[in-house]
Amino acid sequence: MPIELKHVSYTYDPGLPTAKDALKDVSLTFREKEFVGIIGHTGSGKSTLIQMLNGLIQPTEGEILLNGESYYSFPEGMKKRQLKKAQAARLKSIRQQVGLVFQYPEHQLFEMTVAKDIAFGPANLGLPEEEIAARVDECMAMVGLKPELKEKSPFELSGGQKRRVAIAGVLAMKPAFLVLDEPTAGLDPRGRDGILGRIRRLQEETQIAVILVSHSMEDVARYTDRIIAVDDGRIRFDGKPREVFEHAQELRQMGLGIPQMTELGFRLKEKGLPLHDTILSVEEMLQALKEVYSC
Amino acid sequence: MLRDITIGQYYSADSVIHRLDPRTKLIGTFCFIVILFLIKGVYGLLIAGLLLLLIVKATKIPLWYIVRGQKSIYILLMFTVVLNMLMVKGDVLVKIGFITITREGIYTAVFMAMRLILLVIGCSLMTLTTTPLQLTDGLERLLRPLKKIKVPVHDISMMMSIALRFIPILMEETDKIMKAQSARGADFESGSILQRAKALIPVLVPLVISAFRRADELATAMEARCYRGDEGRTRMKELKYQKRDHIAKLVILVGCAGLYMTRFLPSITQTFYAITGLFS
Ligand SMILES: Nc1ncnc2c1ncn2[C@@H]1O[C@H](COP(=O)(O)OP(=O)(O)OP(=O)(O)O)[C@@H](O)[C@H]1O
Ligand SMILES: [Mg+2]
Repeated sequence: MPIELKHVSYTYDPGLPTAKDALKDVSLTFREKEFVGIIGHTGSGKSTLIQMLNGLIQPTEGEILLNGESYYSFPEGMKKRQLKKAQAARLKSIRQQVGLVFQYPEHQLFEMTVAKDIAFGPANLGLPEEEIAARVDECMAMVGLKPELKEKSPFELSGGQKRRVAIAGVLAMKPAFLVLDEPTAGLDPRGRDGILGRIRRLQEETQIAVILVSHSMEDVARYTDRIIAVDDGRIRFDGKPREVFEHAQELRQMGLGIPQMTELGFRLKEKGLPLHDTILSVEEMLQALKEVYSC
Repeated sequence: MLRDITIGQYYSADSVIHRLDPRTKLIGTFCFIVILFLIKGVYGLLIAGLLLLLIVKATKIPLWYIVRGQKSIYILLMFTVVLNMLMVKGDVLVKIGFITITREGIYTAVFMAMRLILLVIGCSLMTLTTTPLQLTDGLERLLRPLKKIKVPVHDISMMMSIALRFIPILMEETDKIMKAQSARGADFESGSILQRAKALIPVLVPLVISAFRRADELATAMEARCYRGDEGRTRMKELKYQKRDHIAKLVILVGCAGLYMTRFLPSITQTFYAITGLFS
């Protein structure tokens, strides 16, 4: 059940002096069960790209398909009313299958209690009460929220907890793709690892596909299987973290960097240390050094 | 959708009107409003509309952009037209049950609608071509004499510019929250009026919270930069009239005088009677 983008472009405010081409001729496929990281400098079009996956904005040009079915084109000869209905139904099903967690999602909480807020999504899907209640419990456990927080007001929670509530609210719709826009922005290291670690485990256990937008090279190197680097609305790199981070020079030119350990590895190599592979994490570095000094 | 609302927004372009001193534009707008209420006939309004169109041309702002931004007054416009049409007494043209439409009613409705449209477009031209900062500066300078009678001129203009600045921020925020709730399956477009009103709760609650949060942040940011009101505050860019401002003022004067003269034109009904009189 892949999401395919075919030559997709997007322009904000077309025809105005503020017009901005946020995406330019992007072709991509997001497969099932994948953990993908999207990196790119600020304003490169990452948020625009992921909003498109969920049908919140419609490509100005090009086509986007979920499971081989186009988001916006319908068979010829449909009447206007029919078309409108079919479009609404399709978007609803897309939004169920592609769950999107926005940047600072805690700003969108509104209900009186945590449980009710998480229930908002499944309730919109028209699920029965018992099913919704079961999903609320399940998703709170998934993101690591204690059950006693259920009846609390979301506004009494800490920033990190609020964010977990927001993520649980999207998970409760049981999407096949979970798309997260900088889920760790503004959190401390422990909060960050807490959230990302849980998402990784969730992905391994439930086989949900995760698409993670992040500014932290360490995080994408550590958690993802594939990295997409966006530069000024175009895809510059798309591949395994190890492959992508080999292009240190180009990444730096794009205003990005490489993980610290990768950098260290390159420098050590320059100094003549016989390190073979591109190194991504502290653990790998330790392993490589152990091999070199055979201890 | 929401982004189409452009009340009080600035449209950046490089035109003479944009470069005019904000005070000139404020005076011009004020005169235009006053004269709109002094004009008596449809002819006068038509001429005023023509002049306004020329100014729009000069601002280099596409007309469709301005018209699209006025969507929010359509309802007000409808009310005006319908009420005037039904309430004004005079020569009865149509009578269905208790509804009577008179010749004078139609005339007044058209007149009022034109006046309202010109009024709104005239005022929005002002904000479209002037940044909130310039607007505040201009207003503060123009109202300066009122300080003598203890009117807090500075605070009033500061509040106004903050309010103007907050409109696009809140619009953007609304857009973002609506998207986020749509991502959770919220539906804002279908259902009865009651259902739709209820669907707005998930948008309004976060919006109000965010407005307070932003106001708080703004206050902190202003304090952190030592803002303490009017006292001892100097400006980086002092307003100064240029040659083009004097020309513009002359144009305003002549334009207003001309528009005032239209009071002495024969009214459209008189023309109508005169023409029909020719044939009888
Ligand atoms: N609602 C909007 N209206 C107009 N322009 C926009 C809008 N949203 C984004 N843009 C512009 O589109 C471009 C891409 O923005 P986008 O939000 O996708 O960037 P991003 O990669 O998510 O950046 P960041 O890392 O800062 O979140 C930017 O240049 C931005 O100014
Ligand atoms: Mg973004």
